[in-house]
Amino acid sequence: MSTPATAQYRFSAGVLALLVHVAFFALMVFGISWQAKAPQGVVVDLWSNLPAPPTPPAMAPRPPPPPPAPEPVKKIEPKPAPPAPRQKADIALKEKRKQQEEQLKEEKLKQQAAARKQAQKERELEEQALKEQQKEEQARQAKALADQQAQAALARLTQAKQAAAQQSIVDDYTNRISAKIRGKLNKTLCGDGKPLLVFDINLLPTGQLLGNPVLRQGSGIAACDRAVENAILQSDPLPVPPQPELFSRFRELHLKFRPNE
Amino acid sequence: MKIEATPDFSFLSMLTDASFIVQLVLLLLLLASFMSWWFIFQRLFILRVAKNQAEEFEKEFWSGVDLQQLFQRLTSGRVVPRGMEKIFEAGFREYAKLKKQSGMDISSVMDGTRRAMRAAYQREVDALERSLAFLATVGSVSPYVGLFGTVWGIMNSFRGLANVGQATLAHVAPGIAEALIATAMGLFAAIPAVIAYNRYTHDIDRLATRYESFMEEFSNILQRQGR
Repeated sequence: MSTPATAQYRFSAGVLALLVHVAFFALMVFGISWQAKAPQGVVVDLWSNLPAPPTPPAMAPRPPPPPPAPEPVKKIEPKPAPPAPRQKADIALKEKRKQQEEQLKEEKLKQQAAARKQAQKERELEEQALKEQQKEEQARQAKALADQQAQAALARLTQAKQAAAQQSIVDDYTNRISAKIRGKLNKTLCGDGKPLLVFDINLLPTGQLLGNPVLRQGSGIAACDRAVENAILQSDPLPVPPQPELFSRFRELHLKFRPNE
Repeated sequence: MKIEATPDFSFLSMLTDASFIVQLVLLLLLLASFMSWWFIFQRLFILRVAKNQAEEFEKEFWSGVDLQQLFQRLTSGRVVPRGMEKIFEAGFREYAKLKKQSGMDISSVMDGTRRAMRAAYQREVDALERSLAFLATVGSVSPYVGLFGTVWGIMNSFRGLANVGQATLAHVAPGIAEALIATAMGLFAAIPAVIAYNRYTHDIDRLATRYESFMEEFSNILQRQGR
């Protein structure tokens, strides 16, 4: 049943419904930051303190070029002796034949000697190639050793650098913690002397205080103790490094205060 | 010492990366939400007009106008009478018809008139209540549909986790975020539907009460005239 009254509003209602959904979609796409951002201040300080991250040298040294393939040994085929011409039975020819036989023998001897020489040469060549190979191998090993040593040295250096950087971050945060607490402290309550107060606090990774600060050593002035405790409570959350390995040093803090210094 | 970068995911990529079932659920919910908003706006306009009409008609009716004239104006007008006008028209028409027939006592004339008005009243209220059932259904069911999509998405993301040796939150977080969009969508469809349903049933109830009291008063007037 489509009465004229309903039909009248059908179109405008449809357009409005569409508008609502477009608005909802736009809100989902643009309204919500789907990208978690680290707190900005922390990031800035962190990177200003860090040394440029050392670019690790290419770990695997390039594989040495394959040793030159040993020259293929040339096979020297002995020249086939020219076939002796067949001779008819003839004395003159017999002598000739003898001569020829001698000649043949000589040639054979020559050939054998040549072959021996050749073999020797080849052997020498092979030995030489072997020696070269060994040399290359040694050089390669030496180089690898040197590389390893250099890498180890570099790693040690970067480790030292990192440790130094870490230490500087830790110092930075310690200073920031003490500065934050100092900013909240009402020093006038601590008199003119040089009181020393020691507080133990436990921190969460977010920098928030876990439990109340425990007074280990008071100044002797109750108001001063309270003032310092209040300052600590008011500076919650305390700045702590975001890296878990650094935070471990901040989990339990032993704070020493000299309010008048 | 790099701070672990958080995975960068946008709303759109989450929609496109979601599994098929989740996408289907989202589509269904979007459709339900669109329909329910459509009906919400339709009902909004219709109920507002019905309320204004009832007010105007009551004002006119009680201003001491001649009933015959009022009936003439309503039936001759090009606009089909709605709401209270329709009830008046049906009642008066039946009353006039029955009155013409001789030999009927006033109580049977009034009975017929009341029945005619009751029928018109029921038709009018039914027209006002149209598509409220859809709003009620969307309001009660779409959270469950969204929940189904979420459960499915989380199941998938945990199944993916089983294949990873070292399980971290980063492995499941995007999947769960994707899956939770289904719940958000279900709630987005359900909340306006429920609010509109409650609001409109209340409005329609009040209009119906108004119509009913008008019917009673009008039959009193007719009975007085009939004597």
